[in-house]
Amino acid sequence: MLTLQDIQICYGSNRVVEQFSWHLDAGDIGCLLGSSGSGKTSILKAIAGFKAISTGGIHINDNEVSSDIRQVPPEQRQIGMMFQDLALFPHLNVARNITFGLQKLTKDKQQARLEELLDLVDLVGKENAMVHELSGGQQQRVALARALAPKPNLLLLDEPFSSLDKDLRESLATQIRQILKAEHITALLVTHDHVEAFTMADKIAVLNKGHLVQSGTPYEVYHRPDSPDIARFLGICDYLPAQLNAEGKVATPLGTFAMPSGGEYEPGAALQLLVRPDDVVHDDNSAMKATVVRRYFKGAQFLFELRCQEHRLHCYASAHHDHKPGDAIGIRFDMQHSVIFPAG
Amino acid sequence: MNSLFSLNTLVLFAAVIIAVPSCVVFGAWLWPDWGLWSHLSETVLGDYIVNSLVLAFGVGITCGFLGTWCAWCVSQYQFAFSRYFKWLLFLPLAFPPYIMGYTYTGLLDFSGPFQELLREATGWGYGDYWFPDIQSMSGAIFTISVVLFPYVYGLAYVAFSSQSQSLFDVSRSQGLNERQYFYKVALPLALPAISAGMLLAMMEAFADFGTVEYLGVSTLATGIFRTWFGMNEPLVAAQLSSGLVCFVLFLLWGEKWVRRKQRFYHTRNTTPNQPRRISWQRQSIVLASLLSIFLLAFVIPVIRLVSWSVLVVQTSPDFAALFTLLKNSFLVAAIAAIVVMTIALLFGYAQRAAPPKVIKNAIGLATMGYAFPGAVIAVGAVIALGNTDQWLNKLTLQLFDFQPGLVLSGTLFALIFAYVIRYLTVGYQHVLSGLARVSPSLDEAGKTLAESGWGILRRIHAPILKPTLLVGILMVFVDVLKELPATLILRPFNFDTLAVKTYELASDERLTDASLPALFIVLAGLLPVWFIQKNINTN
Repeated sequence: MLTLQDIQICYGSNRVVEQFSWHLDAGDIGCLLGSSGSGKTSILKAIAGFKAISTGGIHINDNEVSSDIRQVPPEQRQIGMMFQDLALFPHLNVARNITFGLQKLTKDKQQARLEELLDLVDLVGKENAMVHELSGGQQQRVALARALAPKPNLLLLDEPFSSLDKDLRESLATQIRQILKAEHITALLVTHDHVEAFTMADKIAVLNKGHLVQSGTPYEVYHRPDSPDIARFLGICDYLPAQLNAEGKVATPLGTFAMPSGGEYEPGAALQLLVRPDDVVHDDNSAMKATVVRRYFKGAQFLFELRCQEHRLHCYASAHHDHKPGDAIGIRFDMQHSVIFPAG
Repeated sequence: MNSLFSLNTLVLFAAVIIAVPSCVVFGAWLWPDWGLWSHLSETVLGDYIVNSLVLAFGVGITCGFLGTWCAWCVSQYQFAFSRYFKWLLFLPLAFPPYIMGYTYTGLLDFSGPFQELLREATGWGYGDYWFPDIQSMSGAIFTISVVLFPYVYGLAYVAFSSQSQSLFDVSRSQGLNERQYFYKVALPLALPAISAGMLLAMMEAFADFGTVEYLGVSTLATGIFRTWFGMNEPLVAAQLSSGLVCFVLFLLWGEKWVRRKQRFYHTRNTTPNQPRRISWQRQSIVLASLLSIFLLAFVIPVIRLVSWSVLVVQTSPDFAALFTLLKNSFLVAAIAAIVVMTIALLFGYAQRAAPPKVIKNAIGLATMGYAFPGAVIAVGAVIALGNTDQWLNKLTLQLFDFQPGLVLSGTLFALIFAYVIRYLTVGYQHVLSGLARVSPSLDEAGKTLAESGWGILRRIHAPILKPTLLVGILMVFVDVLKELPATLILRPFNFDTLAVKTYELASDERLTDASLPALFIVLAGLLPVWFIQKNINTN
């Protein structure tokens, strides 16, 4: 469906994206995840046709839309786009915003498509409202409907939820994912927020300084990060010093764990073991004790920052466990996906 | 890429032409006449400079006090009619200062209503009493200040009312009373805005010609006229103009500087402060002070103008002449407004496309005309166009044995040219504020929805820009209508406008006859005031 082949993007002499290759299948929701300056928005603009690429190629449905010598103009690419600032037309009402790109259809067909979309994004009855009269979430859905109206080959979403508050962001991301899935729409999302990426995407490309550093499903990149940098970017990380012992297991001061598959290390190599909050389980009956350093109340849960033999760990526990800083609490490890990196 | 290139070329071409008269004013120093200069400096130059400075600072300080007091009262207190005063206090801006000068002369001179009333009440005769003389420096400061104080009022009002309520609450909880809050918190925070308003008023006072000329105060602006027409020395007039421009540019630079500071002070808050209830005694003081300011700055002059006009209409109306004046004024104002907006749009789009530095600088230079007093632009334009005409005539004489005459300097072209230079700033600011609402992502959204470039202009840009463009046209239109010195110098022979006729009649001591065209100018002046107050109140 969408293929990016060795693309390079430059601003002047500044190369912001280098040797980037990736692929999305029809119906997939992809995500370019990276901090600001990672080049993710430049890639999106290149796919939309707003930015030329200097080498490589971009193909949509096996048609080449960008190469080093030819750029199909954006209006001929049949791409839908949701903008960071939404870019809703302030002088038009909801209906006219949504049907903006349908001028070639007859009035009847426009009306039919409008009704279909209003129903899809749950805005029936709002068609005559002006954009500024709507709430943030409603504006977001108008932008989605407008982008989907001409039945685009591919939908691009540029940090679409950045203007919303956290709760609305997650519920809207879920809603939009459901709509895209129900309509079998291929989409590509750009964000710096891993939670948003995990909620929306089937497939994630993690970018750093213009390079693709890891690609995979959300589950894969979270549980099998390729480097400590990627791991840190995707959530809370703690590390235990570790060594590969003679039996091929990972020995740490807090216990010995199975060696993850794929790692090729010599016995005796100095390593570090990644411990995520979900690897540590609070268990009052456990003999292993850790001291509470800080706690963060999250409503249904506490996030505890712990100290166990001079090693920092984090763990989630039900909010019923009202332990205070300084308390010693029982923990045990539940290492389903141990990840090791060379010590460093 | 190609169309962008040609747009930039066009902009560069326009900017160069627009910049010519300003360059001429400074270029005049290539032919200095030191003999005349030493004569000037021994005689009148010192007066010109001192008077200009006294006038500007007098106006600045008076406007500062009036504007700050009004803004403080309206933004902080609840009192009877406060929401009307909020916009009523903008109305004096509808007057051009020179018309205020004529009106107050008529009100305050020996045969005016005030002195008559005084003599009737006391039985005094001529010379028995002292009465303030409006034909003086203090009279000029007064008349210009009552017209221009809304500059300070508007900026200070926005500054005061956007100060967070919590600032006031914190100050009170720290033991400050209201007076201390004003001097220690509110005033220092609003000071950049207040000084920006004061500097704007000072700029206008420097540039003023009509008022000081009429009230007999010799400033640099009237000196330019006298040097040119009295001494017949256009080059020296141009050199004098360059000095005036330097003063104004210095003030402009000051205004930019305080505004940069203001950004620093700007509080990003969600709860602007609410006007407070005050005792009825304080309410009556506030009300009385604002009412007197409003009466002096607007109601009394308007009544004077209207009663004179009624007198004219009842006795010797010349409607045919008035109609010609209206037609002439509206014609040049409309042409100038449309030309200004067209060029402003070109500049605006060139600027939006992130052009090379040359283009940016050219636009910056060409839109500085507002800092050039009308008299200065006129001097520059006459010299530049006059020389072009001479050269043109020589050329056609050689080639075709034919002389077209003063096609540039002797026709409406010169007038429109000067207006465009002077008011391009106004139009350009409106275009910029309109284009700011068309974010680049709207263009991109249009493109992803398969709309062509022309379609994006027609379906997205035009409807969004329309309201600001119309307001811009109106602003330029009214500014042109009020403009006096450049019109006086550059109008074609026998071509009178409302402003010129008002000036001529007033100069001939025919104040009553001057009232009718003056009233039309004030009425037209009310239109932009309405937009200004609306903008401020929605901010």
